[in-house]
Amino acid sequence: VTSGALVERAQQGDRDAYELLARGAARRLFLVASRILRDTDAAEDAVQQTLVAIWRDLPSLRDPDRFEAWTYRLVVRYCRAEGRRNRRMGVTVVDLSETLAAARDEIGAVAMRDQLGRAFDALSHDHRAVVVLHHLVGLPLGEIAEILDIPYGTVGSRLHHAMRAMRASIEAAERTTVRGGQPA
Amino acid sequence: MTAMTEFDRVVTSWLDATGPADIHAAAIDAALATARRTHQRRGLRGVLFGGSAWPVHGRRPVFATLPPTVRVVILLALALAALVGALLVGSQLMRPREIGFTGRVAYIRDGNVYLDDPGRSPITLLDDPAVDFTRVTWLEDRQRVAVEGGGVITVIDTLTGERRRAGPAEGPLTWWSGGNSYAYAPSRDGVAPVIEIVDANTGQTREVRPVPPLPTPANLWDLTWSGDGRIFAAFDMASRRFLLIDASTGATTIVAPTDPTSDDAVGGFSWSPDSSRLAFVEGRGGRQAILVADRDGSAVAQVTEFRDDPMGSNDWMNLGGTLRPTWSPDGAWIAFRAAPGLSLVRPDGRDRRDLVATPVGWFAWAADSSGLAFTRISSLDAAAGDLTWIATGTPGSQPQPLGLSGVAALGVVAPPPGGQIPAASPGPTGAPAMATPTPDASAAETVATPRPASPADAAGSWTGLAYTAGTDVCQTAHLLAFATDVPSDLTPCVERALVSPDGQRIATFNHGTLAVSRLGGRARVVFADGENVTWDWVDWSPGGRWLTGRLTRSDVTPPVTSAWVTAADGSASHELPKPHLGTWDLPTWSPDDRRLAIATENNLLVGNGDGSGLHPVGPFPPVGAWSPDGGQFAYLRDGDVWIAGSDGTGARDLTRFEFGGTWQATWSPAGDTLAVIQGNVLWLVKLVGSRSRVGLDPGLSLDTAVMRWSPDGVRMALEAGGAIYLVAADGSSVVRLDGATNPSWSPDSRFLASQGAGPGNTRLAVANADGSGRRPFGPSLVQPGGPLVWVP
Repeated sequence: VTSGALVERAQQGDRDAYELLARGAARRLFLVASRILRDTDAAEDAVQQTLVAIWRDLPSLRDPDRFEAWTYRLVVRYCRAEGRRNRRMGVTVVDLSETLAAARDEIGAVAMRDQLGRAFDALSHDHRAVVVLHHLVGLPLGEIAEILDIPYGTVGSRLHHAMRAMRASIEAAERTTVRGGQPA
Repeated sequence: MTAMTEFDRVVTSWLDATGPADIHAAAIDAALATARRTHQRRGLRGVLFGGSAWPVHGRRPVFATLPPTVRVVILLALALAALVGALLVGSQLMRPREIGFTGRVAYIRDGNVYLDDPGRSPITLLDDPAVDFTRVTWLEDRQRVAVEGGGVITVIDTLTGERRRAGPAEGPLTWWSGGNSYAYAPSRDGVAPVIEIVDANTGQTREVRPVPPLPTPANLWDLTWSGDGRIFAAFDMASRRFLLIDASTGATTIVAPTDPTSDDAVGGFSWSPDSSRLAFVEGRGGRQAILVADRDGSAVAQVTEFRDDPMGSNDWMNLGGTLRPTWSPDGAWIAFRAAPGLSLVRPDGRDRRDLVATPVGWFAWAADSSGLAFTRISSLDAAAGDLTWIATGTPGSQPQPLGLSGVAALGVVAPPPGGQIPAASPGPTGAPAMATPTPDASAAETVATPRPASPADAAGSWTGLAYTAGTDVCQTAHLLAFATDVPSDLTPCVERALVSPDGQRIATFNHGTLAVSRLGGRARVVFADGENVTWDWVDWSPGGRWLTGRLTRSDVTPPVTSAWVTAADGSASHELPKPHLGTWDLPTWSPDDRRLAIATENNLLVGNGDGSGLHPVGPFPPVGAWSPDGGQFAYLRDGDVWIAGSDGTGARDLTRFEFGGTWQATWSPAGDTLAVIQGNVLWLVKLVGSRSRVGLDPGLSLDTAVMRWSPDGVRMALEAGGAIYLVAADGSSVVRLDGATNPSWSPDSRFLASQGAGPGNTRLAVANADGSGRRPFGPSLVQPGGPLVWVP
């Protein structure tokens, strides 16, 4: 059964088809949500809401072939809502696995990841969404513009702004390293 | 410099590795279990791509099932037909696009309450399957909406998401336009009718009893509060009398219908914006008309002719339901539903205009009176329709669908708070910026008459502007003198150079040495720590008594980094405690230089301005800003602005935004207000708890905003989006200086210096404090690396 056929069956109320779709989509949606929100619990909440919304609103999807893109739109929307609802905004929840991995890295790599993380945390959720969809999911800007329902130019400017901020952060760290200082 | 493609790879790699790889299976199971209990939304169709983002009604069209080639042929045929049609209709369809719709719309759809904020995704304000919400009303501040449903009133702040129950609602209610109280007339058998007034902030209720008492039974219908909160208009359904009731005393005036012999009714009340007049609908023998009276019920004048009720009924329940006059916010027009469309008329009955000839359901004025939003319905008894906009300023304007269907109970359409901020005409020298500010059309008040200003004016009190320019490796301090219009070097190229806030001294940080000199004077070393040291993160204290900087010693392994505070006269130096890894925050001084705070891993340390006597005051995050008297500090926690005493006591959440989102706050010089940026919203928050949103240009990003209060506290300069916004301290006016960055107030608050923001235009400029008379001077500069400092 093709994905498009599954979507059409789910649109018609076939719960089995929906659950196949949902389980297949959950991981990729969680990857996006966890990167945008930088909080595992909040990301799971966002994905759960997205999965429910997929079922509830699936009949409103006009083109079954755009199911995947449509789900990205939903998850970004719920990430935005989750981010606004989550009063811990700005506080990074450190993932233990990441910390352990970092401990094995060289200090420069740790510094870079730390800088990247802080620079990324400083971005708005809208900016983070563009970075994640482009650099993690690999979507072209035009498709991101459709998914987020914003002009192409806005996608470009958000991506430019976000990458510039992150690059500046890394360069600052590199300068510190060159001078022999500790990571800022 | 890292290559762009390489950096992309780095970011992708980091994103891939930075978080957990998979969601817990239990989380998926829980979501699927919820979905099993959830019904699919049928009858809604989403137009996701290539069109509106809003759902529309209808089933999946047969068209979508046709082969692509057939679809293309049909589309081409339709396009050809449309072209022919347009040619036949002539220029009507070639009309230029109307004034754009820029409002915010609150509405009820499928029993839920939504907010449509153009340019953003629709927001669900209330979604409770157990409650059928019936009406939504924008309150006077155009920020909060009141929603009726389930026997209660819920007030929602559409910007912060704050939601609270305001009080009960037993029947239709009326809001005082002040937005803090509402009233309703409960229907209670055997009891003399009263009006209940509820304070929406406290929930407290008081009763207003009509005097003399109305006969029992009585039922006040269509209770409508005047905008000044002083009078209710109502129709006593039992005695069929038109009443005006004083909201304080209950004193009741009976207004006879214009035809005293009529058994018909009066309703559909609408107070003029200044509460001086009242429009209403009178029914006579099955026909209805709009009339206008003075606030005391006198001087009744007929505005429209009596016409048959298109609903086929003269029942009181329908009065106003069809015509329902509504004053435009500027008081110039009355809009009403004319069977079956939508019309305008002047309050004196002149100049009637029929805007729409098809059935109209709900309608609402834009807050700036520029147009009307309405629901285009299929028949007069339809509850919901397609949201449509029509500009009223231009005769012949055509309705524009807003791509939203199923809308009912439309709230007042408010433009984005503040609307579009005006920019003034170019200055006399052709500068890209403004010369004469004009008031904001919707939120701002008229700016004071501009005083003549020029750099020459500033030259009467000030020598010029000092600034630092250069790179991270080498910086030079310069002085651009007003008298000569030519910049001169104040320092050689050094590692770091900073002009003191009072413009009288320069600090140079170079190879481990910190030296301070008067402008043009001899430098004096105030701190030295060897050659193999590099400085960064250097700063003056606000009053110029202290200097701080972080230095890294690279002649030891591993390199050692430390931060210091040094007296500008070299009399004392204190090393600051080492903060926890990754948060090398600079210390923050109180404006009087007497107190200093710096955050460590577990505590905020507060001490003397020279860095001595630091002691923990509690687990506070870094201080955002000290109050002017040094008695309190503000900090950010959980997306809110908190304030606490300098000893850490009395901490309280000042902003209490439901969704947080705050990232910057600045005290006013008087210390009674904080300017707060929450996302892309600027708030002026009083310490007493009240707050007001400042209207800035729609869509303006405040991601990199800079805020500077004038020393006299009259205005605040906010830099964002390549412009400087001058915001009155009470938020009542905003003026935009285009193409300007890096705002700097003269210490006497008379002038504002700035730098051009456009490519090839980086000249400095000076304007009056109100933004008028802005003139550039000097050459185009390399981007200054620090603030512009006024030099006496």
